Amino acid sequence: MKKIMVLGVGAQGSTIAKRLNDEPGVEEIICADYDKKAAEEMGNTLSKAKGVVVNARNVDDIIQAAKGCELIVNGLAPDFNMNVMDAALSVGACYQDMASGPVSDMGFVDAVKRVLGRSGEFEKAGLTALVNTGSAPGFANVLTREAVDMLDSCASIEISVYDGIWSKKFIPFWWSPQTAFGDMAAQPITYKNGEFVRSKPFNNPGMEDFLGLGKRKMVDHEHEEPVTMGLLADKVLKGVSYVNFRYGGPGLDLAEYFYKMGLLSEEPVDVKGTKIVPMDLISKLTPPAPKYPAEIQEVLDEGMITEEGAFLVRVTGKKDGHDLTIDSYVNAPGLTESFEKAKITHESYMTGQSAFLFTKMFVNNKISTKGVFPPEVLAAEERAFFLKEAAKLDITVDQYLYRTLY
Amino acid sequence: MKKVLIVGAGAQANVLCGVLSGAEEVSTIVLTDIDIKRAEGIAETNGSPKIQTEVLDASDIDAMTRRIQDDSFDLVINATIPKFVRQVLQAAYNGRTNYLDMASNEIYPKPDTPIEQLDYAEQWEKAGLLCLTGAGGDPGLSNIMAKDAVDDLDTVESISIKDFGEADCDEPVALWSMRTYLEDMYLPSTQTIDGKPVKCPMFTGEEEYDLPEPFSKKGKFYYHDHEEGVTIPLFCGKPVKNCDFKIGEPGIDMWRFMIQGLNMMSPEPLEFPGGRVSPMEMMFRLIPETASPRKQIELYDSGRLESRLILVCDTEGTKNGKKILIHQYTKSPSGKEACAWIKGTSDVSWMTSIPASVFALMILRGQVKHTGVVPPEVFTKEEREVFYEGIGEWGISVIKTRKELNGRK
Repeated sequence: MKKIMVLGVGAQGSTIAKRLNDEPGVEEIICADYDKKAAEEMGNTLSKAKGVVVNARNVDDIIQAAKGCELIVNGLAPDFNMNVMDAALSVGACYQDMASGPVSDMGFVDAVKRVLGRSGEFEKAGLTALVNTGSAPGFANVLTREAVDMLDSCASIEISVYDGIWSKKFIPFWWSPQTAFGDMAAQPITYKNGEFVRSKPFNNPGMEDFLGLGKRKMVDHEHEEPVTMGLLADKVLKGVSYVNFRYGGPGLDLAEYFYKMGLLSEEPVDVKGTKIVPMDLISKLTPPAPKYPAEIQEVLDEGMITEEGAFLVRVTGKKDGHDLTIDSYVNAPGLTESFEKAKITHESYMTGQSAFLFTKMFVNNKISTKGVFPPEVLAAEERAFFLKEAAKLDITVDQYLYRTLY
Repeated sequence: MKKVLIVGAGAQANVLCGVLSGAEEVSTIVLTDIDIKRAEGIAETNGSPKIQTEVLDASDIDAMTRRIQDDSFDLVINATIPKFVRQVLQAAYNGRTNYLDMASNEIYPKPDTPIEQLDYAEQWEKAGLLCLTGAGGDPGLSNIMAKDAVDDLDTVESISIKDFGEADCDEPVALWSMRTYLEDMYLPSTQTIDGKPVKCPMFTGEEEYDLPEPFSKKGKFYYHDHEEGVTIPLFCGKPVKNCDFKIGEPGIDMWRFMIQGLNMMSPEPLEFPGGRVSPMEMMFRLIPETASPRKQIELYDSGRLESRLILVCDTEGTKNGKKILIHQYTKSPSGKEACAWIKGTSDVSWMTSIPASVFALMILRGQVKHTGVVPPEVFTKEEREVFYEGIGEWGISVIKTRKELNGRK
């Protein structure tokens, strides 16, 4: 692939564009964003990049900018997914995104189904649309399939992400705080015996004993994995009957405080005769995630309170008649190390670069399947390519097998 | 027989009524509030015929004065929010009645006035009346603990008082006025450092502290605007170099994040699509009201709420030339235990108002031999013993250990 569009050059999109700039086969990267400064910044700093202003609310605007591109990497919020998919089909480009929901016009499960439901269109056009391609979802889905393929039958999949990067400077989240707070306040979805079960936010609190880290509080969390894996349970995940996603960390604790106080509510409240949406206050007061090197350096200079994390995919099932639990732990640099290595945050290092690795698979023609699908559908040799390339970026995986003999 | 007027029918009044209504020498408790339903709620939960309820506005000095003069009260207890200290105190003085409160609203409002009650010290002394101020748990019991330690030492280097509480509930619940709590966290606090009152910015004095049983874990603390740090060095009877008060709870760093990091207690209005509102106004709109007695019974009985509180007082100094640490901490009923004992109470109101009730009974029984405006650290050893015996009957005790430091803690 010679010409690629990265639409949305925030923390993740800009990381993808930077890595693409080093890919020998790539000749031109269209860095498109609504924010002129962000687009121009990419055009000015990357040799192969051209900064373009695009309003993704307008499909024609995307089509115009994407002409001649063989792949559109969608780094925007999921509300824009349909427009970007329309544009990809229109210009005959493959498509990649990092999330399916939440969206404003329908529920989370329906949003995921709507994206996957366009598979026929892409298949007919001979195109590939790889969706949910960050760290989680994304990397987590690849590891899940790796583990499931080791089993004869799969009983459960649980993905746990603990983010304990907490700086002295007040940074609640290392990605969009509005998105993060919105995600936290959403009702988690668990796949159970063929159904998607909704529960209350911050449901099912419990301590997970992570290897090398210890016990940390985790709660159920709304995410794509239980939905896509539930939908694909019989097709690629050996009949799994339970899929859950859990999240933990100081940011979650903060969000729980906010949520309990009603500060994450989208419903207006009357404050001395003035109607105010609490979430608007939070959005106004919360600082954005640092993105530029000088901003990250400032955070590191002020000092860190904790710099710890865990990324665990636990799959259980049967192998040769025995119960088998497979724990896959992802090893990735923290904030300090990520900045030393690549002048980016740990979030971009893991999520942005994971997304780039999927882009790299497109660039190197490593994906043969057509249609719309998430990474758990990728074939064994495709996943092997992904994991080998990840290791080159110091993102490695330790797999632990626990087998009950009798 | 004694008559008591209680101004303010909140969580503290519930405990005060629970204790005082059971005391033989108390014949009448006039429980007042601007909202009669609050007073009636407590009277109904308590069930004692000694309790009468009335409407009284704590901001209206004349109305309170008339009410006090209309009857021959033996004690006025100020159990409303600290904002009304000056008004209730003045009305009690006008009615020439002894007075007790549990907190101050103003720490060093003027350079020579540590707390606003002391503005009236001369007139109360001349009248031969007693204004016992800061007579709850902390301040109150904490001051008694400090005075006990001070009396054990020849010289005093430092007194450090800590309050740690935790409440676990599946819904936001306030066992104390959250508005006062947030204001106290937002405001600079005054502590005694090197013998002088020093204004300390919010969330300074950060300390990780090993809490004694039943917590037995580390707790995070910060300086907090409170009375002990300024009154104890002035009234305990010996020079004190450093005296501070710190507050801690499992979620204190979340409050720090909200208040200091996001500036959510800022009084400056911000522009929104609906109009202009300050973050502070929004916070005060959303924080929960202090849980009513009925609500607390419901939460504790259903097992949805668990809560516990501890006060710690560490005093360092010398005795016979040796460096000594006197470590004291409280043992008291959990919220569930307190609520089972006097319906509708919590560990917080228990720790505040059991000591207040005992102080009140001591005044009514003539066991406090002081006049003027005084905090509890003026109590003599005999007075303190009566006090400890009184709170002991209600399950509050103080564990005290003494350690030679030998240059190390």
